Amino acid sequence: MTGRKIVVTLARDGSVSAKTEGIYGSKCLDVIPLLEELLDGEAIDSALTRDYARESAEARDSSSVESAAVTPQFQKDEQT
Amino acid sequence: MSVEIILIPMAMAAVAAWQARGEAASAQTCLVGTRMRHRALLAEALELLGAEVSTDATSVRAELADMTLQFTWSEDGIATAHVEGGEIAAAEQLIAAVDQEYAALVQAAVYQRLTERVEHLGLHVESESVQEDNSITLVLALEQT
Repeated sequence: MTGRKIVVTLARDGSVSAKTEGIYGSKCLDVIPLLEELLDGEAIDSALTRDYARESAEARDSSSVESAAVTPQFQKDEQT
Repeated sequence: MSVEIILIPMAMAAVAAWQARGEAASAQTCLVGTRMRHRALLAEALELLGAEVSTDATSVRAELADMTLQFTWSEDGIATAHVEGGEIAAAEQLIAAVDQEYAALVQAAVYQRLTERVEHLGLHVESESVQEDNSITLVLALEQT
């Protein structure tokens, strides 16, 4: 499959936002643990957007907001 | 776009809209809560601001702007600044400056971690750019499997 992307923005205040493109349905949720490992950050908010509903037509929760915890190891002082 | 996620690196406490708020602990000392967790990054931020920094097993100490700062960590890993030699407002302003420097170091560290790990996770950096607000945007492409 082509065109599957994750756009990651690292803000100057230390926060990180990420959004997927071209990943449809529940597969987009697989990105969360990927980002967990990649960024060592805690997800404090997430929103499922239209592309989630595009494939999951049978799923009713097309635009629910949920928290996804992505707890990083970065906290460990000695690791860096 | 299928999911949008906001993440806070664990080097920062997950507090929304953090502000430096101080309270008097004694006649000479005030306490300012921070969102900083990472000891080495804090020491580096202080040094970048021109402070004389010393560390021991439980605290980071710095002399900066005619004030003495001592940072200690709570059980949940978040630092509190004990500030001597200044009024509360001055202490808040100083800690806000430290936080700003610290946040920039966190950004750099997250960027380095991301670019080092991305290939191992089946991704590659398609593009990256720095915005006017000094945020860094990276487009990661998932490799075909």
